[in-house]
Amino acid sequence: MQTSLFTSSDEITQAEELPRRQKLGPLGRSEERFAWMMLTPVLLALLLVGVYPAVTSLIYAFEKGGYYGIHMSFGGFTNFVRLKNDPQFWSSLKFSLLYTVITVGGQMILGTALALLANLKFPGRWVLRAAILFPWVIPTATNSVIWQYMFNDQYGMINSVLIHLHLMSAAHPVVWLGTAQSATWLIFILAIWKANSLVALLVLAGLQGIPNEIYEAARVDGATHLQTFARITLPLLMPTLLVTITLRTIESLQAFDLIIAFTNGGPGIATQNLGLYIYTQISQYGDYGYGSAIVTVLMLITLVFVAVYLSMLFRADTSERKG
Amino acid sequence: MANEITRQLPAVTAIQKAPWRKRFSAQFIAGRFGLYILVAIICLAQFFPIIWSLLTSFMTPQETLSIPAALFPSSLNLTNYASVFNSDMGRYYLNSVIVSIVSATITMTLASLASYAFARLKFRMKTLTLVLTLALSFFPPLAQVLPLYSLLNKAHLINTLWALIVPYSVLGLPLAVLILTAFFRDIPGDLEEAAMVDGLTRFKAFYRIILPLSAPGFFTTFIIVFVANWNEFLFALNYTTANTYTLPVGIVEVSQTEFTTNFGVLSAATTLAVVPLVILILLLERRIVSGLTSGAVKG
Repeated sequence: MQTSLFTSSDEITQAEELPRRQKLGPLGRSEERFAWMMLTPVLLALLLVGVYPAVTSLIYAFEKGGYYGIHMSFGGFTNFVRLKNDPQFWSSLKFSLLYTVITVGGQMILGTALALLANLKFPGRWVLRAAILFPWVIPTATNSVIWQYMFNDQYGMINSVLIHLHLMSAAHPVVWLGTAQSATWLIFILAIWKANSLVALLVLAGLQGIPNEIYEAARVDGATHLQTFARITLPLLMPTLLVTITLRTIESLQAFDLIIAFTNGGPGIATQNLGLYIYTQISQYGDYGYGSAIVTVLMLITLVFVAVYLSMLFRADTSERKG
Repeated sequence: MANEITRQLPAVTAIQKAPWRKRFSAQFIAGRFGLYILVAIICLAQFFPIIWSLLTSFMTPQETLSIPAALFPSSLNLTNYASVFNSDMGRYYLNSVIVSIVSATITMTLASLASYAFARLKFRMKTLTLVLTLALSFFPPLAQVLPLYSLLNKAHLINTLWALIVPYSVLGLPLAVLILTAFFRDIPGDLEEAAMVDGLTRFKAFYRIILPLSAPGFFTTFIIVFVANWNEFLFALNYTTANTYTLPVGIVEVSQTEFTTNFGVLSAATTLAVVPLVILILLLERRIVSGLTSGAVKG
């Protein structure tokens, strides 16, 4: 099993495309018909979860009135004008962007460090690898509930430890989730903790793709560890890092369970991101039109990063071919 | 450049082989010691929420409500686990098991057909179809919730477990197709050709030859899809009512209504939610890692 981040891109470009005009023999034609038969269920399903929701959201976004989708009528750009003048929308957009920049940055640094460590050869390495995998495996929402309890000002373990260490007095506990600033930073820490697994796994796969001979040659030439890292590891790892950043960015823009189960957007709306605001508008207020307008904004932002991701896969592939 | 370096390789390795004695040098031992301390700290950081959840699950209500919080349970008290299975949590657990397994099975059945086509067959527009599949795996779930809700509602599936099984089966597809295609590609083509020369149809060659040979990859993909279903929250939150809650939704709902009074039970439920997954990663760590990275996966 080739563990390369670009496996899927390889597949895409290696896919032997038949020239459009090439005549298919009877055998080829039957193969083609069989292929489409095998693909039909998946293609139908993808239309259902991709194309249909995109179209429906767009239609809703231009409709107004009615709650929970009843008695809606065409409203033109009403919802988008409302977006422009809605301070809550702007604050949630701002939080989403801040969350994405800080947590993706933190995940990349921590994840890369973990990957470098897990790439060393030492007895018992599997323990480290299992530990790296763990935050990925624990359900995000459930994990947030645990963290919420750990940081509870009265019954939480964090304050208890601080009291036992005499760093805090029991009479004046720190209300971790009570102020906008500390709640925000705790969300960032939680998000970095939760996703360092995936970054570490992807970077580890990238590291294992760097041929060992290059390192040995560098050692013969007398390169120090730092030089080896800066001149060999980092440049060769760069494509992997860029792809990982893009993947994490797409994911972080859509954060939802982690935040709703940890702070529920609070205190006030200090930690409300786009996902939570969409949920409030659609599921709690039943305002399908306005909620879908925010969904449209989120889809557009996501689309930009998906385009970046795909173009990176193809660029990496064509440069590999040239070299 | 790289080629020039590697060409000198045999000589390089001969010179650079570490002398035996190096393994017993003070520096080497100190390095190893530091490394293991670092690994221990990392393990603690990665596992501490579940360790604490495990400790809390043995505590009595008096202990969970003491200020400052008790850090260790006074005894191995299993009443919280008994309460999980006697309360609604038991039903949520069962719901999670049914939904995750049934949808992962449907996903794998459909995905294996498409992956076979992608990995093995020649057809036009293959690149375009694969790129679309990849792109759709990034479609924002938040944009899917409402439109799919209307569809499921029209089909009268809301308030049944099908309201989750149908979307999960479909949502897992892009990921499963990408990972499985990578696994199918690794199987040599000769066997299948030989089988077809012997008169097997293409479809029989697929399920008699390719599927059994790729059983490990198939199983790995199944696990990854299963974990995604088991942990899914957004759709479960929107498409379920008290009867059909899955475990994550049940835990969050209970935590928001009776947070402090019930934390022992909540911790027991959380521990039970995580235990099957921990066992899976301890047993299958290497396979899961290779599966996850082969599809350049999202979380």
